[in-house]
Amino acid sequence: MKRLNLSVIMSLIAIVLLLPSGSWAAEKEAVKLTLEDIKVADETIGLPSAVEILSNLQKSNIKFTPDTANSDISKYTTKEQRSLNLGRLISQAAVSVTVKDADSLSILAYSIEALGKTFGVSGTIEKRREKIIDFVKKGDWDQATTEVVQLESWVKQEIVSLRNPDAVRLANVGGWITGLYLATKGLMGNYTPEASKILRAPALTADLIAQMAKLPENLQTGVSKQIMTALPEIKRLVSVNQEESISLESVKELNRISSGLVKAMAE
Amino acid sequence: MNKKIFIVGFLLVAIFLSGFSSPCQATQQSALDNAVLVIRSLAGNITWRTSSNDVQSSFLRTGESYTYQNYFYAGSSYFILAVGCNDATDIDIILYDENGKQVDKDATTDRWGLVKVTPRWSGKFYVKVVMYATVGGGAHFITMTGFAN
Repeated sequence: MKRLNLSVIMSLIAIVLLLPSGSWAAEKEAVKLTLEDIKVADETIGLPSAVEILSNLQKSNIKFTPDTANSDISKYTTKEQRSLNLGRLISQAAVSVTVKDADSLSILAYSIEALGKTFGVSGTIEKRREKIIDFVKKGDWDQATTEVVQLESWVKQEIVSLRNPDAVRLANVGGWITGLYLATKGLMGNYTPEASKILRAPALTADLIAQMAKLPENLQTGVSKQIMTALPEIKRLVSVNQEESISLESVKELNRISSGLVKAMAE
Repeated sequence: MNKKIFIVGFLLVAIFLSGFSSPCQATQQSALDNAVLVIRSLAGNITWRTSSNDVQSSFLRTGESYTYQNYFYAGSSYFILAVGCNDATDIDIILYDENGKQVDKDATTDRWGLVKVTPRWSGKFYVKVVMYATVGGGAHFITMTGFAN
C-alpha cells in the first residue's frame, strides 16, 4: 500500500512537471530588477556611436560641418596617439555620414582603415570600407550609416581580440570627447534647452573615468593625462537631474574643454 | 501492477530531469538566424548597433534570466530585441530605467520579444532577458539594440 502511494505520487509529479511549459504563461509573475542584476550589469557599459548623438541633434536643426583635418595618420606613431585618433576619426566619419558628405567620408574611411591596420586588424576592413563607399555611390545613406556604425564596433572588437583592450579604451574616450566637441559646437550655433538634454551623461562619464584609471601607467601620460584631468570637470557639467537641460554656459564650457582635448589629440 | 506503476513513474521523472542536464539541441547560430528573420520582419528605418555590449548572446536554463545595461539618448527611439534558438519557446524581455522602474515589457508567449523606448532623458537602461520556457531545459538567445531618429 505504501509502495502504491509512492508510485502514484511519483507519476502525478512527473505528469504535472511534463505539462507543456507554455501553459504556465498565464501565471507569469512580475519580474523585478534585483540589486544583483544591477551589480552584474554595471560591470560594463555600452558606449553609443557618435552617429546616434549627431543624427539626433540634426532633428533639432543643429548643423554640422564635415572635417578631414588631421586625417593623415602617418604622424601618429605611438599607441596612445593611434588609439585616440582612431576614436576621433570615427566620430568625424559619423559627421560625414550624418550630413551625407561623400568626399570627406571616403577620406576618413581610408584613414580609419589605415589606423586599424596599424593595430593588426584583418584585411576584412578593406571590404568594409569599400562597402561604405559603394552604398554612398548608390545614394543609400541609410545603409552607409549602418555600415559606419558597424565598422566602429567591428574595428574595436577586432582590436580587443588582438589582446589590446587599452587601445579600445583610448579609442572610446577619444571618440566620445570628439563627439562631445561636435555636439557642443553644433548646440552653440542653435541652442535650445530641449536639445541640450542629450548631453546628460553622469553614468557614462563615471565609466570613462573608471576606464581611463585602468590604463597602465605608461599610457597615463601626455594627452591621456590631460583627458584624465579634464574628465571630472566634464562629468560635473553633464551631471544634471533627469529631464533637466544643460545651460548654454555649461555647453560653452564643455565645448572649450573638449575642443582643447581634440586639438591635443590631433596634433 | 504496483511495480509497473512505480517503474513508469520513475521513468517519467527521469525523463523530466534529463531535460535539465542534456545539452541544448539548437545552437547560438539558430538564435542568430531567428534574429535575422525577426529584424527583416520589423518595419521602419532602424539602425542596429553591433557593439559587444549591444549584441549579447548566451545560454540560459529554463527560468533563468540575464541582465545587462545600455546607454540611450533622450529623444531617439530605441528597439531592443531578444531572440531565442529553436529550443526556446517563450522568451520575455523587460526594460527598466536607471531608477529600476519598468519602462516596457514583452511577455508574450513566443521565441522572441521586443521592447521600445523613446527616453525623456539620456542615461543608462537595464535590459532583462528571461528564458521562460524551452524544450530541453534551456536555450541560447541573442539580443540586438537598434535606434531610429
